[in-house]
This record gives sequence, structure tokens and C-alpha cells, in this order.
Amino acid sequence: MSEADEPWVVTYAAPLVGVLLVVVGISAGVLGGYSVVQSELGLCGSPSIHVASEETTAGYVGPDGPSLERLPVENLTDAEAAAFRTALDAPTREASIDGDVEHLAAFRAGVLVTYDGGERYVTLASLNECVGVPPLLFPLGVAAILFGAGGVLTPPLYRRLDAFENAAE
Amino acid sequence: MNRYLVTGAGLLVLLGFVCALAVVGSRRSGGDEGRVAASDGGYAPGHREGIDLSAGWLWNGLVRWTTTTDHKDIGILYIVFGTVAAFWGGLDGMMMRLELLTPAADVWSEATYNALFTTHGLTMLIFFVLPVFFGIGNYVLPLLIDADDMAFPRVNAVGFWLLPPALLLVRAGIFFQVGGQVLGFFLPPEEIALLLSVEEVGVGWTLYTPLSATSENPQITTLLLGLHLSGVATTVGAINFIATVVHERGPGITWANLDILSWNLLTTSAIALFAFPLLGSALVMLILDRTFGTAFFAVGNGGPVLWQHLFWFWGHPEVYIIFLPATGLLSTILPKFVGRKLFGFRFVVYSTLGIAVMSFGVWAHHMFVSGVDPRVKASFMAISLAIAVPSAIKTFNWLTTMWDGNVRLTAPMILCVGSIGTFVVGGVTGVFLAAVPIDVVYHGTYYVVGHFHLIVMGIIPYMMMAAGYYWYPLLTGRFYDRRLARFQSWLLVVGTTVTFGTLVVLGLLELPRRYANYPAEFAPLQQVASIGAFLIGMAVLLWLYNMVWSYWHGDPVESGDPWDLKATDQFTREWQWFESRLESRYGMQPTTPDAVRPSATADPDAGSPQFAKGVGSLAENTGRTVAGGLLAGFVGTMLMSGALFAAVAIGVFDTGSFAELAALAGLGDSVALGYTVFLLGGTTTWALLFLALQEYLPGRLRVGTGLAYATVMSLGFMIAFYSGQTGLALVGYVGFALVAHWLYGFGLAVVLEFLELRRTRRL
Repeated sequence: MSEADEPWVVTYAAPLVGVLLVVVGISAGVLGGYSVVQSELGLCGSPSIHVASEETTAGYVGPDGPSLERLPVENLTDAEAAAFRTALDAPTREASIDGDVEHLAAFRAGVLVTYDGGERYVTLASLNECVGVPPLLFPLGVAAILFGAGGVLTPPLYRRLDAFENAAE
Repeated sequence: MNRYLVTGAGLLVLLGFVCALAVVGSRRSGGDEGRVAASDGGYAPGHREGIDLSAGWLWNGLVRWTTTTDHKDIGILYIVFGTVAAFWGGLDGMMMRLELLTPAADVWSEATYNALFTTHGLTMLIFFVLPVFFGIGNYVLPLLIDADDMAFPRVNAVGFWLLPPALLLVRAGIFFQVGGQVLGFFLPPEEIALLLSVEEVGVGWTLYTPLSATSENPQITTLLLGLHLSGVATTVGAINFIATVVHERGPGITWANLDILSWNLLTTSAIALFAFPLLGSALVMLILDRTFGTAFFAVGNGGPVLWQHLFWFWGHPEVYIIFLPATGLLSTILPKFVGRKLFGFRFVVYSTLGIAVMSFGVWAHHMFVSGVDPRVKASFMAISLAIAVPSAIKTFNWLTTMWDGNVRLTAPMILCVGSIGTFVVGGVTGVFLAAVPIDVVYHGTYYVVGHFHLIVMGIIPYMMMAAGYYWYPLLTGRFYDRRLARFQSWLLVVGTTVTFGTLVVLGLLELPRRYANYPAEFAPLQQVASIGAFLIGMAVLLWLYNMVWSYWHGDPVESGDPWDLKATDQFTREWQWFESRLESRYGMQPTTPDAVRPSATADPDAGSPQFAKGVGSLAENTGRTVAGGLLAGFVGTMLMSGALFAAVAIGVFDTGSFAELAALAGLGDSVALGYTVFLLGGTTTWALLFLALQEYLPGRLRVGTGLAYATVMSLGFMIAFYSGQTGLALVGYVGFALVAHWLYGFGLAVVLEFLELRRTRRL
């Protein structure tokens, strides 16, 4: 079959609609699928904090520094305190809070946590929010990808069909 | 989800996809035995070399590709490397767009998003674009200038082989971090503290100090070293291109007949030669600041603004380093598919050289919101606006080349046309950004992202793909799937326009860029942009599939002139070389077209018309031309006045508009003085503008050109002279304004034609 004989709807329109369906399906399917497994695997919902170095903290507590709230480590929840102590020793100075988070607002604003006679500037590194999309998005996305693949494959399928009919004649 | 695992998995899937295609292709290559191939690649016609995966075959291949100094081989190495980098950086982009599907930073973390836009920018700009253009240049340029090879073949190879380690250094964070996570399962954290301290850099691709100087992440230093190495590689490559064009041209290749791609690669290399060493110096200073406490960029010494100056002194020329080769390819490929030679060749070359010089005078427009003296900003604003002129010259010449041409809408041509469209939108949005007050508002918004992506995505990869399609027969001896290529090209244009047009709109709504999260009311537009981005991704995958699949299964070329270039007298040197190879190796006889239609002639009946009365004649006959223009403008304005006075009599045009014009000119509220200003404008400014632009306007006859010009002008007139008409009065106003302008254009054109006729008869 020559190029001129093939309807443009088959050559261009059907694949275009197909590709559109595929990309919409990828968007929906990935987000929908990920939202299902994300919380199951514990990949979200635990905010992480960053504990500044002693030098950086010193810049915040000097006479020219900002006015910051002070929070004794004893007042933190067990999970917050554990994350604080983990972050103190971590190479990247970050740790996630796996448990109750009562001082999120303070971490978000930046706070000086006092401990063992010292103090460190602590900020929120990430909220690690969970993807908030309906789970139905996943099957719909997969269906869109499949339908779209059909559209993309329309031209070769049409050619084969055409060749088959011509052979039959 | 760990982004690094996703990245790694994505790359592995891509690699697996390519390998699977390669293996399937090699297995099925036997099916081609009955076909008569005209391959140039060193294997017998009808047979494509397969992959046997034996140790000997692999070893021979490894030795061959790592030790080659042949410019064609190195060109292919560059292209493959750049393509791999493009997929890596593109994956970063897709991951960013995935995050932006939802307003919250809930797919990746904020830090991950920061790392994504940092590595996306660096990978694409440094390791994708120029390597691919250097690859195309390596393969084609020596053929175009009839050189045996590049001037320094071994240096050429060294220049390429510096790039893979440079890329690995820049992106090493991913390997360190994944390595740390894997080893973390087996070893205590304190034993792998170094690995755990490294993460992908997230300070932004511009590496602004003080953040880049003070962040503790060791990967920043590694990244700087990698960038420095890539800069050395680029400089080496640039020197080689310059030396090759200057010293290796074959007999008969002079500066006068040097092809447009070689001019562009030469100019690009010259810019790179000035820009990259400075980047290297700035990088070394930053490394020293990070590791030896030299404090170049500390407050009290140079400060953060010093880094910005140094970075952008390289950064803006870099924009043209990656842009000019694309324009060279467009100027090379487009004429082949319209059957006409490039219109205004000399002016296109001049515009390229002009851009090269001016590119070093615009860097501070990236710093309009930084602490720079306002007087300095004003001068940079002026040059930034002015640099649009040579870019527009190119655009007008491309459009004029197409005008009246015999357009063949092949995949490369679709990409050329798409490039012009997206480049115009990207360029015009950039002209607005060049103005300080507008930049202050939009600098931190998605408007900037949309603007520069319409350029860097809208012309650069388009032209790479167009070049890939155009020279695919020359590289492989086969054709690609042309239907799929046309579809892929349209898809790419649609995807790019949807994605980055939407980002421009988001910017106009003043949504700040660089954030992983954003207010929920912007979600629909962000989702449209992401869908468009995924369309781009699909288009790129289709291109890759076509390139790989066609290598084994494409239709073999049947002559050395697969694009019928001989028929329009555009059978350029690289195709001549291809044809001679086919003849000497496989005995394939050169073809001769039934008829040759000259691609440049002053006689429209003989072939493709060339506008002989161009800018040159205007310059040579300035006095006569200007006088004629003034007379024609006066006649046209008088004709126009008749229509306007009729409109006044009917009551659809208000003479108060003339009074406003007088007030605007500082002459008070006088209708008479306003009309005088109008008459002077019509006689001088608009008539002379027509003389300057008429070569670029549509219309085979001058009257048609005049009417087209007047139609465009009428839109401005309607807005400027509008005085609150509504309903039928508005319809009448629009109608009379249009007719009045057509009369102006008619009078202008007829008088000019009459004067021309009188002059030629005298001669």
C-alpha cells in the first residue's frame, strides 16, 4: 500500500489520539499506582528535620541574630527527640520523624532546640506528604495506556488488514 | 520512592529497550538478504553487519571505537554520548513534570525536586546539546569543506573522551548515594559516612554563591571538577573546528563559497573559545573557595554578584553556542526541501557573526533583579533588545527562502517549519524579558522557563532530529520510516508548544518557578504542561525507535541522491562524497535528473525566483529610492485620506483622533496639525519601512506586496485611532480603516512600480 492510499485518519489522527491517551494514562497511572503503594511502603507521612551545625547555629544565637523560639529537647515527643539525635550524628544532618509530630509549626518556622547544655537550630527539611489522588486513577490510567497503544498501532494494523484483504481478493 | 532507583531503573529500561531492538534487529537482519542495499558503512550491499556478542567481536569493537581518530567515527561517538545524556537529563525533566502534576510536593521530596532541576539543566546544556552538534559537525564538516579529516584527529579523540568522565563526575551523586544505600544494608553507617554524606546537588544549575560555596555536600566539588573537565573538552573541540575550517579546506573551497553550516560551526567555536576558559577560571575559583578558603566570592571580596557576572559572561554566550549550530542546520536543511537556495546567504552569515559579537554584551540581563547599577542595567537592556535584530534577520530569510518554493513536507521540513514557529514565539517572549521593568516582574516566574524552553527545546533538538533524518541515508545507507517520522515530528511540535506555551501563561499569571509545590488553582495548567511534556517524551522515544529499527529494516537507498537534490541544483559536497563512495565500492552509477530547476535565478520562469532587488539595491541607490518612496507614500496617504474623510462624513471615524495624535506629538489639540503629522508619517516613515521590508513580504506582484503590508499596518491603525465606536459604527470603522489602508498600499505600490518602469525604459 502506498503512502498516498492510506487515509490520513489512520496515519496521523489515530496515532495522535493514541499517544494522547498514553501520556494521560501514564500521568494518571503513575500517580494512582504510586498513591497506593507509597503509604504501604512507608515512603511518606514522616516529616524530616534538618539540624544545623554548631557554626551555623552560632550565627543565629548571637546578638545580631534573629529572635527565635527555644525548645528543650525534653519537651519534644519521643519521635521528635529521636529524629533530633539521629540528625545530630547523620552525615547530612537530616532525619525523619517516625511517630508523633507535635511541633511541626515550630520546625517549619525554625527553632533552637536546647540539649545537654548546647543548642542547635532545627528546621523542617521536608513534609514528605503522601500523594493525595483517588486510587481509581490507577486502573483508569492503565486502561488509557492500553487504548492508546491501540491507537498508536492502528497504522501497521490497518496495513496488515489491507494486505490481508488484498490477498484474499 | 527513591528517585535514584527510579532514575537507574529508567535508564536500565531504556538501555534494555535499545539492546532488545539491536538484538532483534541483528537476528532478523538475515531477512534482508534479498534486498539490494546501497550501504556506505563498509559492509557488502544487502547485508547489515549483525551482532554476535562473542568475546572477539566485543574486543575488536571496543578497541576500534576507543582508539579511532576518524572524524566520522568520533562524530558518531559524540552523537551517541549526547543522546545518552539527553535521555538522562530528559528523565530528570519528566520526573519534575510528574511532581508538578499535583500541587503538593508529594511524589518526590522538595530536596529531590531541587536536585532534579539542577541536574536537568546541567546535563542538557553541557552534555547533550554541544556534544551532539560537535558530533554532527565532526561527521559532516570535513565532507562539506572537502577536508581529509579534522585538523587534529588525535586531539579530536581526546576532546571526546574527556566528556564521559566529566559527565560521570557531574552526576556522581546518584552513584554515591545509591552505593551508600546498598552498602548500608551490610555495613554500619560510620564506615560509609563519606558515601552517606554525598547527595545529588540541588543548588540550581547556575550554582549561585553563597549557597554553592558554603553547602557541605561534597558532590558539589565533584560536580565543579566535572564541569571544568567538560569545559576543557569543549575548548579543545572548538580549537579543532576553527583550525579545520581555516586550514583544511579543500581546493576550490574559499571563504566566499563556504557553506552556511561551516560558517555557523566556525562562529560557535569562536564563541566557545572565548567563553569556556572563563567558565573554567570561575569554576576553579569556586572550587578553591570551597576547599582552600580563598573567599573569592565571600561578602567583602567579590561577593555573590561576582560569581553571577562570571557565570553569565559564559552563560549567555553559551545560549548562542547551543543555538547557532541549530540555525546553521536549519539554513542548510530547509532550502533542500523547498528547492531554493538560502535567501540572503550573506546576511545570514553577517547575522551569525553579529550575534557572536553581541552575545558577549548581554550577560547582565540575567541579573536585572541582582544588585547591579541601574545605568549598567540600561545598557544591557539596549544590547539585549538589539540582539533580536540578527535573529530576526535569520527568521525573515528562512521565511523568504520558503516563499514561492516547492515545499516538500518531509519530516526534516516539518521540524524546520516547527522550529521557526517556536523560535519566533520564544524569541518574542525574550524581547519582553530584555526590558528591565518587565523582567523584574517576570524574572522569578514560569514565564522565563517557558521562554527559554521554546528556544532550547523548540529549535535545538528539532534541528538535531532534522539533521538525523536528513543525513540518515548518508550515515546508514538506508531510509528511516518516513510516515512514522512525519508523525513523530508533528507530535514533537505539538508537545513542545503545549508544554512551554502553557508555562508562558503560568508565568503571566505570576506563578513562581523553582518550587516543587504550588497553589492548587494552578494545577489544571500545570497538568496540561505535564501532559505536553510526556508527549515530548513519547515523540523522542518514537524517534529513537525509528533510528534503531530503520538501521536494520529501513528501505535501502537506491542512489547517491536520495533527496533528489540534483533536480534543484543543490547536490552538496557531502552527498557528492556519498555518491562517489557508492560508485567506487558498489558500482552504483550516479543518477542524472530529467530536468534541473535552478535553485537561484532572477528569472521566475527559469526556476526558483531570487529577489534581485534586495537590500543591496536599496543601499546602492539610496537617494533615488528614498525620493521615489516619499512620492509613493504621499500619493498613498492622499488616497487613504479620501477614504478616511468619507468615513468622517458617514460618522464612523472621529477627527478627534487626529487631535490626539497632535497632542501625542506635543503639538497641542489641533486636528489640522494632527492630520499633518499623519500625512508626514504616511509619506515618510511607513513608506520607507515598506521599501525596507518589501523583499520579505508576500506577493509576487508589488501591488500584492503593498496590499499585504497595508493590511498588517491597518491593525495598528485600528487600535491607535479607535475612539470608542460600538456596534455598527465599529463595523464601519474597521471596514473603512481596512479599505483606506488598501488604498494606501495600492497607491504606494503602483507609484513605485511606475517609477521603476520609467527608469528601466530610460535605461
